[in-house]
Amino acid sequence: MANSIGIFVCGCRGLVSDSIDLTLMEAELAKLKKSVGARVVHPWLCGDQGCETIRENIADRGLDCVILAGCPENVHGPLFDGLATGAGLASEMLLRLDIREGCAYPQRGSPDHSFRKAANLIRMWTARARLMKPFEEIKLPGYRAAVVAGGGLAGLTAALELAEAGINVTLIEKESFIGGNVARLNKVFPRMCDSNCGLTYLYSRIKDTGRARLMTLSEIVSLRGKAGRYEAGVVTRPRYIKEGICNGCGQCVKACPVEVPDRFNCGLGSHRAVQAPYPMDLAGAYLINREYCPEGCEACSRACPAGAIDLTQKAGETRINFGTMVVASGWSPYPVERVERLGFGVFPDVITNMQMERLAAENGPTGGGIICPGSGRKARRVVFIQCAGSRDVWHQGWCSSVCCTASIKQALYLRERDPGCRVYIFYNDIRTPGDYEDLYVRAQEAGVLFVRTNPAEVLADPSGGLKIIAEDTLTGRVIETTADLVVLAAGMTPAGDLMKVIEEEVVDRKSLLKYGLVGYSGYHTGHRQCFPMETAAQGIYFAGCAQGPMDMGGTALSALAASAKALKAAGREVIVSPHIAVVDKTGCDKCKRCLEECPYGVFHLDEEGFPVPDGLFCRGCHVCVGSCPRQCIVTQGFGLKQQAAMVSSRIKEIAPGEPVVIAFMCENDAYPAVLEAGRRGLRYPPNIHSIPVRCIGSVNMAVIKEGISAGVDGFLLAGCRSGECHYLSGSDRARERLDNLRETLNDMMIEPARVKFLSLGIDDASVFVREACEIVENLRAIGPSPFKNAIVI
Amino acid sequence: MPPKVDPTKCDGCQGESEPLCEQVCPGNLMTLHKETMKAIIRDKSDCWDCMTCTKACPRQAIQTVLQYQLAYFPGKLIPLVGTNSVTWTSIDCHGRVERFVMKTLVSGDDEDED
Repeated sequence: MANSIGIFVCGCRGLVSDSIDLTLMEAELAKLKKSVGARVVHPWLCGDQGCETIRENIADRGLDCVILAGCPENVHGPLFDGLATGAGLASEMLLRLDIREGCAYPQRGSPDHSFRKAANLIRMWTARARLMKPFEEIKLPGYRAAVVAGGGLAGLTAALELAEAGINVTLIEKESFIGGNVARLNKVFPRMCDSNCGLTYLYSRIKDTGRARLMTLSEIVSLRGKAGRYEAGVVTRPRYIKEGICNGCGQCVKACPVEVPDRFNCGLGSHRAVQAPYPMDLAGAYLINREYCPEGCEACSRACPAGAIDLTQKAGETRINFGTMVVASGWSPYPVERVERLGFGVFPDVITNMQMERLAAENGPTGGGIICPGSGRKARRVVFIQCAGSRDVWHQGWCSSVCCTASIKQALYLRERDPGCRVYIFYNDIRTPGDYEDLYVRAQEAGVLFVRTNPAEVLADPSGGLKIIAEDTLTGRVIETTADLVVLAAGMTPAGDLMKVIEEEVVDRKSLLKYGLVGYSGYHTGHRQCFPMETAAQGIYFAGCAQGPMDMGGTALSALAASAKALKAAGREVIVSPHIAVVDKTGCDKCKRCLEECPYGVFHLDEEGFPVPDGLFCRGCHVCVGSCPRQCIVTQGFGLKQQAAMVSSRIKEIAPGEPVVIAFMCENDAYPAVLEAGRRGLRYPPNIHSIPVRCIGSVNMAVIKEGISAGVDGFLLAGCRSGECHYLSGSDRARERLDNLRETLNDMMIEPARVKFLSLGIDDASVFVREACEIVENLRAIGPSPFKNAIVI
Repeated sequence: MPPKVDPTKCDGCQGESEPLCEQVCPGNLMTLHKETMKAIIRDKSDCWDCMTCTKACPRQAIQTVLQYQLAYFPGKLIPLVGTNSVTWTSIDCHGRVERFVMKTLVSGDDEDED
């Protein structure tokens, strides 16, 4: 509790002092006595002299809380925060009160009104200041380790970043090779460089940190715990060949009788059940795909001169403890055989974009020659069909965002290698965002023909090739063309069973959907602007194409973002935001309403059945504070107690008989709209006293009720528009609670119009002004609050 | 006379096994209806009108019906629980309204009054 409050009123070089008489204000301040240590009226506080005045007063009078009445909080924030900390005052103990945009500007020309309103606001802020305490640091325990699931570009980037930050990282990869789909690429747009070069560089840097452990052929099968303290079960498939003993002579491959489709080459070509390591396989040992082995066959074992083959190896399960996980499980191409008209799986010369990459790659099945897999001829006439299954309500509704550029890249290198090769791209719309437009232009200049069509159909041509029929949507004619090779741009689908593990064991999909954390594409997403990396599974962050379709640049960025988020959950001791909610167990009766209303589900029950929020993941929206029927969820700083003190601080009428209105304003959208109204010089009644709050959902109805019994005539609660709330459901909750309260007021024979909910966007200044005028008009008609004359017992 | 639950406002405390009214009732009279999942009173005759459930309900779904000896319909007694006070609105059968504010916590913030 603050015992010596300093009140500083700034004239703002005339901006405030023109409408508010500062001499009168000095006399008014003298009336505030309890716990007030200094009262200063100054023409210009942010100037050198003003700052010195504040500094001197803090030092000389031992102030432990300071109210600066002047400009709004977003002006000169760092200046005053620095001033406070420099003078030994915690920055949260410096309260900013806006009497410029919120009082002097809208009441310009009526000095009496603006003076009285400013005096009221200072009175309210003094009541708040008396109950303020400096923040205490909150620390929580955790495991200082991270798991990165997926060894593709996103996984490697995240692993490197975490390892460099000093976190022990376990990198888990399902396949025997790292690099994922990127390792399969021939060239990387836009600079047409070699993908393996970047991957090798990334991995060597990870190894240099000495903090990363790579587990290939491994998958996470179980997961439990919570942020900061997770435990995963990881199953590792055996190689059946001992690393270190295998010398890579290749005798086993010659002996092996079984052919297996080549997974690295996306099904193009084949290898034996015992195979040489794929490119980017770092173990340097051969590998047996045991599921294809005929029973009892030991041909490879007999052939191996080094005795490296051990067919009795068993799958091993390891348990890993970690604090946080980056899920980079990547993507797989949409199974285009489901789009029957495109003939994939029927005609061998219809291939996907990824297969095209393998065909063109020098380490691919054809050694880099563009040979049609079916006919065996060199491809001289290639047709790309875009959006194979993408942007199609029957298949996957979303745009994968990279396929257009990928096809253009392939078309470019086809033309470059063989200028005689005819290349057509059949597209719906070409989407080449940002710089990639250059590639589009380059492709047009290189003679690639772009045809805007409705979905095409692929048929067999009597000549032995393929025939494509499509409607040219620019000319409206049906066109027919032949091709040696058809390349389908198969869209991105989230890959991996890990999603299932997370959804089943850590958070169920229903709650993911409830919290709006599954995008319409089925990808896991957070609130795109405010919390882009968040998921309902706390401590688990999605990166790369597990988060949404994106290109390699986007993947690297997303991995960096995910690792930055992961850092906060991977420490032995984690300092969390002081704004987290704390449940006061003496008041709690375990009704669990906070569990229901928390927009992020951060509450769980402890051994005694009391709800406890997970401090690492509480976002400090304080919606639980608003929900608690026992008012026992407390927060540091500005909370329920301070709000109650403010509304019951005996706010005076602006003029005799005028209603007193208190407006709680969401500080994200509604309050900026109020400031904007002031800046634009819009006039609204001085009866409105605005209090900015973190989220309108944090206002407990008990505060409103307290205000009503204290004789406040009306309340205005302004939040974001439904669906735009930064904390997902805060403004909807507030509206719902207010509707209930309104009915009770009706029962009590109090006019329900005294309380009003308002949805404001950040630019709704004029809406605010209109509504403010309306509620004040209404209240004037209704008359003063009946509680002004209530019997106080 | 017993509490009356407004089923349109009661949300059964969102499917919790023990809603708030059940927890606070000193006579253990409140419970959830198995099918509708709304609060009901088990035995009306045992209620002694303490109004704890009425005050506690987070959705303001419970009203206490006054005994007929005190007031005929539409007589009502409605509490409004604030942070530092409880406000009682008494409406008698003639529609006359009286309001009482009971301080439950003295904030000690009144010294500055002039």
